[in-house]
Amino acid sequence: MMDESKVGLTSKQKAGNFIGSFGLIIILLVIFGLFSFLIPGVYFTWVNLRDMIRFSSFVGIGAIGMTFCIMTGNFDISVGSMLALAGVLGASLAPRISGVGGVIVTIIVALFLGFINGVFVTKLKIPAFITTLGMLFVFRAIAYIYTNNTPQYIQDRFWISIGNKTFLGLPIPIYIMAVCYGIAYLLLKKSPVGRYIIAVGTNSRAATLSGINVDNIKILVFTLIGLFVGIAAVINASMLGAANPGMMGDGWEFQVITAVVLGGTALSGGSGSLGGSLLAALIIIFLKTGMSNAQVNSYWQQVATGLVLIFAVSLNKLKFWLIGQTQ
Amino acid sequence: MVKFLKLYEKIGIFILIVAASIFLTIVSPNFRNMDTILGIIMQGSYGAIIAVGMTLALTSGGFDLSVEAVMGLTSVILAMLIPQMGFTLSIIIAILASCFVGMINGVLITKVGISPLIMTLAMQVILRGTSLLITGGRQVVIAQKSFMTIGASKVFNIIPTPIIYMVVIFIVFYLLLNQTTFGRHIAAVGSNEQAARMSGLNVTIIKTLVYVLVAFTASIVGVIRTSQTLIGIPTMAPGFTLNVLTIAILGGTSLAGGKGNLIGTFFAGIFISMIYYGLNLLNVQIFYQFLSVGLVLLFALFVNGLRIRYLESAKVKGIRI
Amino acid sequence: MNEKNVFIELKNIRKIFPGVVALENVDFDVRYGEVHALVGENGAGKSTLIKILGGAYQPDGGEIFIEGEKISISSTSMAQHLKMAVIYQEFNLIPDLSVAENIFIGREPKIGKSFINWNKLNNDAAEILKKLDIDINPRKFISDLSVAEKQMVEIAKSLSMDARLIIMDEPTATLTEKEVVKLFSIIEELRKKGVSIVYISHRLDEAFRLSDRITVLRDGKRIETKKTSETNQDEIISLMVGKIVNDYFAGKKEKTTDRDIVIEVKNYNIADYIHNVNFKLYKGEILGFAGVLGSGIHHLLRSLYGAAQKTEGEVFFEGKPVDIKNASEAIKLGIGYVTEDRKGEGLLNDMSVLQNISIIIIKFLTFFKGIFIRQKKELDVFNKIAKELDIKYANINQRIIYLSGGNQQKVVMGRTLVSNCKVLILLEPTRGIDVGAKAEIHKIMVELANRGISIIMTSSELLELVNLTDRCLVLYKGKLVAEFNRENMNEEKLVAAEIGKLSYANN
Repeated sequence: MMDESKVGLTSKQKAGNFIGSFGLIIILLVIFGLFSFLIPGVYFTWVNLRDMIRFSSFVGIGAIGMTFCIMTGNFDISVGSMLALAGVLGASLAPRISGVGGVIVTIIVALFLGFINGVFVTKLKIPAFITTLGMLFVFRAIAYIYTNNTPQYIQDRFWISIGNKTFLGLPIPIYIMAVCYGIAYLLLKKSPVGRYIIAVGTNSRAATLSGINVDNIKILVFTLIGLFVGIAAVINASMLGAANPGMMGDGWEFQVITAVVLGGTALSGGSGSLGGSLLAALIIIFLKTGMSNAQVNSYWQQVATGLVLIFAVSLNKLKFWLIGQTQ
Repeated sequence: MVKFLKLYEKIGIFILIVAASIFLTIVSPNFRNMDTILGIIMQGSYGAIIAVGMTLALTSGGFDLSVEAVMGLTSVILAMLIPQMGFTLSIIIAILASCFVGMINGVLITKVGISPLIMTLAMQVILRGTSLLITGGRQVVIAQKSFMTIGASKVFNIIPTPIIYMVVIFIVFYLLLNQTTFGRHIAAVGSNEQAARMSGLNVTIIKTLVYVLVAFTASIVGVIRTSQTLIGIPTMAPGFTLNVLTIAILGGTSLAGGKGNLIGTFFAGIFISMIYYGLNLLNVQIFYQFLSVGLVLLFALFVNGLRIRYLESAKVKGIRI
Repeated sequence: MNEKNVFIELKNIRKIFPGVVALENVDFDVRYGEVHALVGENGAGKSTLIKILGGAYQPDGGEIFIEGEKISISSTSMAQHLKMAVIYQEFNLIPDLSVAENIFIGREPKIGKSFINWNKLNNDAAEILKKLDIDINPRKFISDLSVAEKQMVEIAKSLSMDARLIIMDEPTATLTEKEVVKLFSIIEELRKKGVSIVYISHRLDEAFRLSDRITVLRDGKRIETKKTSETNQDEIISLMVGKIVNDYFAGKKEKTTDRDIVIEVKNYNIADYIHNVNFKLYKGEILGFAGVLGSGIHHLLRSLYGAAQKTEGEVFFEGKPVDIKNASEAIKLGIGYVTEDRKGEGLLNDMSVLQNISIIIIKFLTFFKGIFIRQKKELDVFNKIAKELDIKYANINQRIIYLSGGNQQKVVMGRTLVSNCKVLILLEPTRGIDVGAKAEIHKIMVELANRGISIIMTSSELLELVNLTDRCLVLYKGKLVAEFNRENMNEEKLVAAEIGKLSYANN
């Protein structure tokens, strides 16, 4: 009787599942192999590898919150500006309230901004992207105005060490990223909240009938984005030694969204993968570093990032089409 | 309340303009000057022209985030081609190239099924990169001063040319949207795509053409702005897309599709320009302009949200709407 | 039969869906200027048949002749080309376009190549509306029209295409008496003009008032085609119901002796849908609700679960007044709800069998202040209910969508059962489920009721209500019109009450 409910997979479905499971690893290996071959002695070195992973933590941590958000079928396009606003506020206060205080302020500010986004999105009943598009400009403008467009340098040794020191041979951001992914994994897989997030994304009407408060889950998800953006802001400001109201996080939302989409999270919500987002963040940085190392014109790099996003969405479409649940 | 909301949908923007006018008349003695008023309208024309295209996209149920990059692409193509081929041909090529970009947007959105958000966002980045590639990242000065007549001269020595372009484009698009079958079919697609398809309309072609038209309007503004500065700028007008979206939404065009209000768009463009003028009076930095546009967008969304909420609760209570 | 009188004739039409024969050897014909009523219970094959006529489905066997010529209706536009129009229950109108534009969409009169000739458009539309004696301003937007007016516009639209056959699917389901009268006079007009009409309705009195002939479908077969003047409602009802032996129902439930009231509803109103309804639900009882489209049952039961809002009235749960505003309050009281729209609002598609079962109760299966799930406990809960309901699955991580319909239904039921509900609202519990699984679901329901759980159920299969329920309430147009208990309930009476033919006075 067991067999009755087991559906035999067609070759198409198998291909779709294969793309879902191994596609990213193959892409990562191909990129890594290609650049190792093209620029021998530069790309495939321990130092370069370590640095690439260190840089990928910036995109990777941001991608966590965005993965949750897109899983619920929403979208936050304001993360880059949120990063800058939280960063400059924290950095500007650090001299007065110590580095630790600055770090905490940065994270709390981002958390709060995310919460505001969530409230607006749920209460206005308007697609999240348009609300957060407005916020993208508001946050950035406030960052400019607050700092009078001057970079906020970070002198505090504790804060500087977060992004630049190593521990047991590995850069600290890698540990932070690992902890963030660990917590996110527990949240998604081992706590009721994770179930609620997926339920809201896969079928919000069914979730409502199951007694889940859909609005609260959405607000929570936007707040989580804030949390991880705050952590990313701390690392980013530390690596650069300053929080710059104009440059900090400019175009970052694009990288983060690309990572999540490339990681296999469906834009329509419901299914998503943290591991996929992490791998995709690595792919983006491996590709970017590789192109830089190979001295590819930076404008070509920009074109490439756009193409990668379109490729990622198309790949997702292909995957779901093969598995047979067209959206 | 229902009546008020319906009325607001139609004339809300005029209330805002009147309020802003009264305010500006009080605080600025120069405001009553004809030149000032024409200047404000001219400044508003750039956003309004593209917002006219964006209104079409919103009416069809989509939208376009790549418009500012299309402006940059136009600007760069002009700067590179004008020395070789003169104005007319360069402008035609630049506009055609932009329309082609719009077509790619439309085809990938309708055929591959990529969401308009992701598609046009990616297109923006790609076009920015391409424009930078074409000029090698530099801004390119156009030596032919006479090119300035296109965007920086005045008709009868009074009316700046951009205002003329805005009026012409507005009239053409107004007729297109409200008087032609194509325009009404755009609204049909945005209102109920399934029913439109069942009624035998070619949804793919209608949507694709809409994205071509948005890119067309963006390209026109690209030409005007380039002519005024005589510089080909690959990263022209960062953040202008928000401006355009804000104008369209503030003008009363619904995000849900089906309802395009071009008259509202036209005046919302002028209203935004009045805000800029007011901010200039205060002598604040450009960042306040970003802030204000963002806040105006949120305000427009807030009103829209109130409307949706009210209509929903009215439905529960059984009030006929 | 005079061949020349026949506009369209269907012979031996057969349509198969995976696992189900929807239509088998159905013959059907429509004459010029005839109103032909098509009746049958839900699932009899009516909608499949009209979709074949409208070009939305292709038959798997049989032939179609129009005016004696063999044709195939390969698409919806082909049907339009053949001058046949279907007016579905969910209209194909565009809300943000005007009445005139909708009538002529895709065929607008033009000035030159692309400009709409508004004068001609509006005048032509006005003319068509006037011909039908419909008083609607052609410049009005569809979104501003009432349901009845939308229907009129659909009729006008089909006439503007010179339709010679108009198929109306349950046209009166959501209309008021006055609007129905109006519709009937239009149908009379059309008939005089030689337009043929296929009229589908649950309301037999309408079929008798309008039609020249009536065809009864049952279980995908044509049972009879009768001249309306030569038959009566009782005969048609008995043809619809049939005398099939249904051996797949589980043993009858013990009669409830328990008279504890679990839910009492007083003076209940929902704007537009429910008018002054009162009823009681007893402990361990299976209470059925019957009614055709437009009866308001759906809204009533949803509002009991907090998924829709009442406008007036009181609800008492175990004697205490309650105001249930959302699903989580209903769950807290111990009310469970299983939707009839399993795909749309029941299944959590991207989640596993296990997660689908535990979604409601998961917040209680936790440690560390509700942060972490007790996976062992979750698994225990799952195993227990899976065994109890005999859910068949490959492994607990299998995605819910890969289960069969019957097992999906068990999961959705199990979801509410594990949260210890006292009242279970089951809408169409066996819809889209094969025969074997149906019997299992029935068995489960009876066992639950015997255990003291009160069940409210609806079913469009009346036999299911007759066999399972202790009592059955019938709603017609939002009002409670009849109540039956096991002794005096039968299918004929239920049908009669559903269509407003029987009320408290004569049952």
